[in-house]
Amino acid sequence: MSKGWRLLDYSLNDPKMDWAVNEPIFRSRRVGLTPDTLRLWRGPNTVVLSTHSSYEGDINHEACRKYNVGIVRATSITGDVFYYDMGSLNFTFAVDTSYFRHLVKNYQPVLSEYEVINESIAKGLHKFDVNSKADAYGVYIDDKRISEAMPLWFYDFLLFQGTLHINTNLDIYKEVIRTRHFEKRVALTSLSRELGKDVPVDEAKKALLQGIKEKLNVDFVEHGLMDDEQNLVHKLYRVKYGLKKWNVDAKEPFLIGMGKTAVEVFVAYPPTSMCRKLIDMVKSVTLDLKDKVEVMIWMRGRGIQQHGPLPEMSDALRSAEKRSIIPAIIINGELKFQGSIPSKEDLRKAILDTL
Amino acid sequence: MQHWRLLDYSSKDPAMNLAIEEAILRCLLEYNSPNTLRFWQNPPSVVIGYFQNPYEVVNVALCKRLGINIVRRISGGGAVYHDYGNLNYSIFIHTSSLKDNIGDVEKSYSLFCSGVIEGLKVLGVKAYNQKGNIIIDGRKVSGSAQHRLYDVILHHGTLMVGVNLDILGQTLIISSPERILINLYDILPNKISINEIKGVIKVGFEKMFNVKLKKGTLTLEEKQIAKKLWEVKYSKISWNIPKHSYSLQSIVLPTSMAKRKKTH
Repeated sequence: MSKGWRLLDYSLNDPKMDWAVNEPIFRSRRVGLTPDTLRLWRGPNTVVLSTHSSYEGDINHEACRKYNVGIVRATSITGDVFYYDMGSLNFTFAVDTSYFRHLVKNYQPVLSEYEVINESIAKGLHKFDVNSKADAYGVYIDDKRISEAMPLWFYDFLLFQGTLHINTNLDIYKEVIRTRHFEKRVALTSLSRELGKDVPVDEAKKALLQGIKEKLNVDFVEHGLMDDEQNLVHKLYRVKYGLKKWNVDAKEPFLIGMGKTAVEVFVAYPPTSMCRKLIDMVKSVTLDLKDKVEVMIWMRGRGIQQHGPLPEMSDALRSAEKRSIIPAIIINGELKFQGSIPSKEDLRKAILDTL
Repeated sequence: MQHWRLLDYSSKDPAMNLAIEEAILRCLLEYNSPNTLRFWQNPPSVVIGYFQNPYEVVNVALCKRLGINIVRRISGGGAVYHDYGNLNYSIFIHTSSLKDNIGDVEKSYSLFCSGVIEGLKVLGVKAYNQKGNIIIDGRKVSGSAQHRLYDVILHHGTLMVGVNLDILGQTLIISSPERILINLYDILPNKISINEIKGVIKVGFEKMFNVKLKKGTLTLEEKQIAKKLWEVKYSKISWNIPKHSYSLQSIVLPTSMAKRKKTH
């Protein structure tokens, strides 16, 4: 029996807003608000940095200015910088990959998930009579790369964000991304270059959908963004994707679930009487903010499972544990109070400042 | 001059010894216990650091076969092998009772190790601190670790007097322990008793902290809290050898990857 996926055909024509859409899709999938989702979209000239790419080192900024190319950073665990334009077809998979394991013969963790998605894209390209192949690292036509992507994992959930070069201007691509990248990389191509003519992107989209449908045994139901996703798009634009802090410096705010303010309280296990007092205080201070604030009490030594099977925790919390800071109060990933119990007023103010 | 408690108390159960460590720290935090220097010893056992995966640092199967308990402490640092040839010392202190600010972790290690180093000097042994390890002739005779709770600190360490390095080398995943570790008995011209060694270390701490150490016992509250901690934490396999990572340091991985990473 095939699986029902949401198909989201949604483009905003603004690189930063467009990339702010992908994360809410992923988050809503993670918390179970939405089914597995494929977003297909297009956008104006953009260079996409991965979380670990260098804003200065990986991009030719002069060329970006010359061609009016936007720059945005994607949340990802790996991936090379890439470029897309209106001739490209961008895709975003937000999926629970436990389903994928049954589709692969010699299953290899992580690599097989990439491979199966890339194969579904390659299958779509077969409709154009090209020799398209795929492996875990990309999609190729005659050993030239035609598709690129950046993955992000949250336990078994995968966000796979990338682009398929249909009519992409590869000359601009090579100018805006620093040349040292091309020395290491497989040569690039586009579908139009392979076929010797432009291909309507809508036609490529249909073929791609068919390939994914067949390879992954899924059915698509077209649906827009949920309200919660829409709200989070705007929030993420405001606190992350629209900011220099993220796009240039790669510093991201810690958000939990669908973007509630996260108040992490790190205490001893079992809690000392002072820890219990602190826990009670945090709960009373946030009582009227339940729909906007998520309080998580982390007890040192109770493990990552103490908040269910898929817990989220900030790096600041991990650092507090490493440095044995008890107690610690971390708000949206920032260590705000440590080593002692703050006043109710100071704590309330620090939380309200984030709303 | 401040008076600190000198506590010379060991349980025969390594898990209880660690529960006592945390109980004293908790009572100190609530101002129900004084600053304390504790001496204690464990029967043959392996004590691992809070962040460690026992399967990566300990020969778990051999320990099971030999009946050697593996227990986890609340402080970080590496795994240690204990037996009655090892003397453990622990300092429990309110930061407010120290003249210097010891927010700097490295400085605090240097300060607490100085008590032991000073004591060894009385025995004519030249030793120095290297990041919480006490070194004699390039080999480690003592390691230490810390845990902080609000404004109280537990600093505890080992002092190898006559540890069985052969068993240590088998139980811990460590190569050539005899090349990097040293027992005090290997360098002292005359073997002296563990009690005498306690005596010189007491003198060392009194000198370095300008305090008087007065013999004391565990309070009733400390005993009760230790019992509770033993019940809910230190006696539990889920604390000592957990199935899941109990610290928060692990990376969020797909379950398929996490299963591969697990060594047990």
